[in-house]
Amino acid sequence: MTEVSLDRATGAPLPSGATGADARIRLREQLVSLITHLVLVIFAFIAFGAMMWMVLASFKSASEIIAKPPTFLPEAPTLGSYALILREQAFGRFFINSIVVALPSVLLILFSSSIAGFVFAKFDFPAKEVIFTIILSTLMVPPAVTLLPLFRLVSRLGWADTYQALIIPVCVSAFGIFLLRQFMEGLPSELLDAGRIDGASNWWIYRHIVLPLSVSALSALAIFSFLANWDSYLWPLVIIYEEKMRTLPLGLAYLLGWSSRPRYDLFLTGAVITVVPVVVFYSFFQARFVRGVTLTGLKY
Amino acid sequence: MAATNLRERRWARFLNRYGFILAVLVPILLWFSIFSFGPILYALYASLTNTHSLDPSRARFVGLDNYISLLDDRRFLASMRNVVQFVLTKGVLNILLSLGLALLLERLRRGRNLYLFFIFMPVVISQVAVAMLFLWLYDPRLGLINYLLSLVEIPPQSFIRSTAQAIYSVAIADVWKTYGYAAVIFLAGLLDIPQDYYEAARVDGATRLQTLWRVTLPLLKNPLVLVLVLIVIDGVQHFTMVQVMTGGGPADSTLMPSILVYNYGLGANNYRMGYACAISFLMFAVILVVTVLQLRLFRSLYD
Repeated sequence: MTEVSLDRATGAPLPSGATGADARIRLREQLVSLITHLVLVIFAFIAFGAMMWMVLASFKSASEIIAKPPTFLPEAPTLGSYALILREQAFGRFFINSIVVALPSVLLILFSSSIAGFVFAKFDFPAKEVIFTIILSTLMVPPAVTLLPLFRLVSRLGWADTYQALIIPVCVSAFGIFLLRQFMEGLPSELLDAGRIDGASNWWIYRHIVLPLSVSALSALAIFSFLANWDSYLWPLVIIYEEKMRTLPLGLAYLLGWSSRPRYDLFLTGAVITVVPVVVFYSFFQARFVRGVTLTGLKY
Repeated sequence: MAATNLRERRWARFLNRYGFILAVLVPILLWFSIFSFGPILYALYASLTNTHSLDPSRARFVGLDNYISLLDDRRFLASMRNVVQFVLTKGVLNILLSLGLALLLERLRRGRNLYLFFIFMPVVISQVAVAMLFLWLYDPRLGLINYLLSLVEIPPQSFIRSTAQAIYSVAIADVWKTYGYAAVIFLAGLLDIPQDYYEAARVDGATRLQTLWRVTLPLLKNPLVLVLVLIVIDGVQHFTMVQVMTGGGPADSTLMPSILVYNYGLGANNYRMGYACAISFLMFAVILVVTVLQLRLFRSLYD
């Protein structure tokens, strides 16, 4: 067998003098690369495999889920858990509740953050930095601090068990204002001045110049605030009592107390229903998600 | 006549200059006053009283009594110990895994995004769903983990049902969900390092380990500080996954300060709003200190 060594980058045969020691180095490189991929596959499997297993489990019968040894693929695929959870636990309603809460919350955050960000980025007025710093400093305050006062306030307003209780207290974001201000300060002021000379109002400039130029920051903020809202648990737990007003995380957590022994078939099916919309969005916009979450990520 | 005209003109000029700003800022600041500043100040005030959560009218000013009683509240001290264990476990595992992962991903010429797609997925899914998944995995009799352990002849563990293992078990579940996030931050940091640095190290005959230790890690200081700070801040406030998986048990071994605020503030037979607010303000103090330290560190790093 004649040894023909290939250049890794071009695939072209290397000059024959380069065999021997070089071949050994290349072999080692390939080995390292193989091990790298192997380890990465394990990482990916631990992340994705566990989730896949959960999805597959949601199509198993209650007895197959707790069978020993455990099965990976469902032996007798069934939609029984889905039927049960939709019938007994109003998960359809929880799903709608989650959407009815998340969509307006995210839209209001996008609107308030962008218009306030615009004002802080492109206007001068007395006490600007003081006001901005005070707003920004609320980011350090843990939600546990405002939890009980907000509970009192929202209860007094008579909003317990309403959608606005889940929307209004989260519809402005100090972080969003900060992010959009940072971004908009990078927009060239000449563009705005051109609009002003033409006699355009500030609202027009916001609507037709600033917003279209801020799409990348807005989409990052949209992803971040949607995930936070979809995930929200503590606040709904405090302010929602009625079953029909539960959001998905809340409905999911209440499954724990539904029966005396753990019903993993329902836990997992409920979890799948909760994560499916997010995972679908994520699959389409992965790059944006990763960029968005890291760009905006104060929390995970 | 002239005076009103002048006033009107001044008003017009004022509106022209500040009208838009006011139209935006007044509602925004109103919102913050009602839903942020107000509640924060009220919580501070409440922490100095014995306010009842449902009936604040009988509140009496008690000074620092709440803060002082915390010092010999066993449950509070347990939550402090737990949160330290949680943050340490999470911090060590999270940084080792995410840094290792980022170093591997950086070496790849292609396929990086495919791996990231899978590894980042747990970051975006809901915490309650992750808690459900791990409740199942950790089940002593029915769970996958004990089954896998039995294959290698390790006796079954009780995980979140045991006071000794529970805090580590919930921390590991949290690491599973979050380390992909830190990995992305580290990967971005690694990709920012100019190749010349590695070239120079190789010319100087540095081994791989030396390069990692002397070149890569020092240049990763900013992402490292960022990830550490996020882990501490996030850990101090942690509520959801632990609350769903263990509710703070068994025997308070996973009790977190946030869970305690919830239990003292709104738990049946408690409703001790003032006391709960005192705990929340101590959490705030910790986060404040960490943030100030971070700003200091970042400043000294940039100098």
